[in-house]
Amino acid sequence: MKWAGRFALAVAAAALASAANADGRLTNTSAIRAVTAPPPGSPHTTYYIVVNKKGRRIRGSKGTAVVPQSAGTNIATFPVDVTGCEYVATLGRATTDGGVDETAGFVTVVGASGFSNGVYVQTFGLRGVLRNRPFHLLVAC
Amino acid sequence: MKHTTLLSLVFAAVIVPSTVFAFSGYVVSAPDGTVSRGTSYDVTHFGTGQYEIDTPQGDDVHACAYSVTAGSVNAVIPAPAIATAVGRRENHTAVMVSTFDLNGDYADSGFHLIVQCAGNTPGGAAAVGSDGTLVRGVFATAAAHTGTGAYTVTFANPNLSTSCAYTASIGLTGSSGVSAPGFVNVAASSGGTIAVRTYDVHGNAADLGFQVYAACAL
Repeated sequence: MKWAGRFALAVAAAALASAANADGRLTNTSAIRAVTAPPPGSPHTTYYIVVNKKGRRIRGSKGTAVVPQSAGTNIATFPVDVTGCEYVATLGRATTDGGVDETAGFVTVVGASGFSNGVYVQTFGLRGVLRNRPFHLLVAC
Repeated sequence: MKHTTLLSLVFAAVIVPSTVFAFSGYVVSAPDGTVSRGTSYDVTHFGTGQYEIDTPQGDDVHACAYSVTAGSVNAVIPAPAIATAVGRRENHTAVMVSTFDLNGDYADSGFHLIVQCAGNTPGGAAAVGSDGTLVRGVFATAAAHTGTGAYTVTFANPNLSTSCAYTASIGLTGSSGVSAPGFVNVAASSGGTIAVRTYDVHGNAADLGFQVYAACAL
C-alpha cells in the first residue's frame, strides 16, 4: 500500500509538473525553488536509477521510481527531496544483459517542477530531437 | 490467501540468492585506453571509439549505474565528443564505453567513467548556471565562466583535478524549464579546479548550464 500510494502521488505530481507547448514538446513549468547548498565538508549520499528506453525502471537505489511523460521525457523520483542535489545522466542501455552499444545522443537534466523528489530527464538524438533513450542517472545530495 | 502469500515469500527468500553489489569505482582513460587514474580498473581499447573496462577483482557491476563523460586525462581541452556506457553481456564484471564524434561516428576519445553501486562515492558535485554561477554543490567552493561555453569548477579537495574522475550533464539548476541539448566535456585545470566545456548540438561553443559529479578514491 505504501508503494502504491507513493506511485499514485508520483503520477499526480508528474501530471502537474508537465504541460505541453504549442509545438507539442513537454515543458517543465513552475517557479524555480530556492535551494540551500550543504556546507563544505558535509557528508553526502548518492542515489541512482537506471531506466530503459520504454521509461521503465530497471534497477536503482531503494525507493527510486520513474514516471514516463512523453517522447524522450521521464521524471525519475527519489526517496528524498532532491531540489538541493546535483544530477548527472548518461545515455546507456539499461538491460543487465546489455552488450550492445548505445549510439550517440544527448541527455539533459533539471529538477522536476512542483515535484521536490523528482528529476526531469530528457533524451535526444544527435540532431537534438527528443527520442526515447535509456539512461543512467546519479543524484548527489 | 494469507498463508499462500506467506509461503510464496518464504519460498522466494529461499530460492533467490542474496546478491551484493557494493562496489563503486572509477577510471579516467586516455583515447588509446591508457589508464591515467582510478580504482584499479583495466581498460582495453578494442576498436575505434570502443573500450572495455574490467573491474579489478572481478566485482560484479551489472546491477550498478554507469556515468561517463568524454574528456581528457589532463588539462588539454578535448574536441566535442559523446560517451555512452552499457554493461557487458557475457561478463558482469565489465562495462563497455563507446565514444563518438560530432557526427555520431565512433571516434577515440578520453573519458571519465564512474560506476555507482551501493554506498556513496566521496568526491564532490556541483550545479552551475550558464553564466558560471555556482548554484549549489557538495564540496564545491567556486565556479567561473571563462569564455563562451567555457567554465571552471573548484572543489575543496586540492587534488581533485588530478586524482578523481568527473562526469557532467547539460541541465538547468532550478526546478522549471528545460535545457537545450548539447555536448559537455571535461578536463583537468589545476589543483581542485576542473574545466568544463559546453557546446550546442552542432559542436559550436555555447553557454549551457550543467551539473558535475566527481568520484575520488577512498
